[in-house]
Amino acid sequence: MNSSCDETELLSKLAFCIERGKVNSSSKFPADLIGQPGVEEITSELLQKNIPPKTILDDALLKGMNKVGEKFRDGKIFIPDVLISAKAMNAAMDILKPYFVKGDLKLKGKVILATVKGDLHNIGKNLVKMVLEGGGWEVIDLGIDVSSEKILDALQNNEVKAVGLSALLTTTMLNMKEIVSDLKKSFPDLPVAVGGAPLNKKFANEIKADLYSPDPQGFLDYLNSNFALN
Amino acid sequence: MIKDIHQYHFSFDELNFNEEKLLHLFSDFSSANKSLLIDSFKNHLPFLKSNCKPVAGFRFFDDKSISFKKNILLIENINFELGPIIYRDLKEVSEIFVFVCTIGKVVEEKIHQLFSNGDSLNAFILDRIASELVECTANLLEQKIQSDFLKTGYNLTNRYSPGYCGWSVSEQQKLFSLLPDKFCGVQLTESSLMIPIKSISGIYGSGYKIIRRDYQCEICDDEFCYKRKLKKD
Repeated sequence: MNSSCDETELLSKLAFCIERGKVNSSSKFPADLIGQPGVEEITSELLQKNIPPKTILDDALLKGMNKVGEKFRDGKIFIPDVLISAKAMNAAMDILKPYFVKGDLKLKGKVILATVKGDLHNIGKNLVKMVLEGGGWEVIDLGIDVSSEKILDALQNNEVKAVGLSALLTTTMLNMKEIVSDLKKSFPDLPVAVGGAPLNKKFANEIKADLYSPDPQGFLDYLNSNFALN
Repeated sequence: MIKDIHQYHFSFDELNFNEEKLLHLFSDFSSANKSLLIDSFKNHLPFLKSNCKPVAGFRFFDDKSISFKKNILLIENINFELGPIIYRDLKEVSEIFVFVCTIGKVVEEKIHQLFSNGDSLNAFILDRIASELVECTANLLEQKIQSDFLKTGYNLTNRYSPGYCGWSVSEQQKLFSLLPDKFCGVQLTESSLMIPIKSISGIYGSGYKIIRRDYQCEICDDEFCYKRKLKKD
């Protein structure tokens, strides 16, 4: 009984550490949690107590990240804090890595991300990558200046749930139209999400993209609600 | 007599980017995580001091070289389709400064390296700082123009860049055609992307007793423009 209480409390603590971005006891942030154990210590402790990795993932890590998503949607936190939580999530995932390798744990699915051809900006795409990985998705990052052919090639070789395209310029966002069209020809049911500073929903509709999101969380929410197995 | 083309090399210290500006720049960081931000900045600081290489320059065009048609600026017979927002602010000016500034490529290489090594949070922080340092470089250039080149009674307009305030980013090609090749070390790709990426180009207008107006964000439909964000802050 006590042991189960301990476990529940530890799982809640772990979810809280994810939510607050507390990596380990030596982290100097968040300021109000200095000196307290973080995701690294608590995840290890739970594993030592033989708590199944799937329970740790579902009942603590993803629960914490869902809370982060809620706070972001409610305007209580902004992108930097989402990234801080995602960093803590990645620290926990590193500890769970052997279980993913063995096949005991599975990520939610694969997503391709690419900055479209002609565009060399990678910050937006990388932020999306960090948030999606923090949300339990495997990201195939095709990099910058990416053509339809390269994405189609990756799609042939992987079971992918969705593709996310990024562009930062009004000139390069026009290349999205051709890429979305090329992808839809071969994979008509594959959702394609688009994002980037000059884009808006109207443009996304015009080029027949399935989703426009002004932030990484919107894409994560879309994936979770449409494809997540957990 | 103003010579046509000027170029300046500044030091990182001249940009005067400090902790106070850092905290303002990252006002979306929750207060509990400010120590992370400050630590990250302190870690990046020695690198920035040695590798941030601000360069800025401009070419000056007097009233003989410029003219206006509705929503259009002509410089040496090249048409710039400014759109109504910028045109409204510039139509009374008698001089144009076409400018470029950059902080060089080393900082963006470092950002790329941090991302590649999985340190996305520090990469994100450095990226945002780098973007602000280019803005600081443009501000220094503006001060230089104001102090050294403006005639008595003349004022500068806001600075305007292709890609903002309704001016198409593709017009960047025409803008760069007015400047020497690789001016300030900046060049354009076919898609009008500046390399190094942490660069700004654009124009200032100047005129006698011109009143500098605020950016007209309320009549622009660019919801996510950084100028709008700055104005809100």
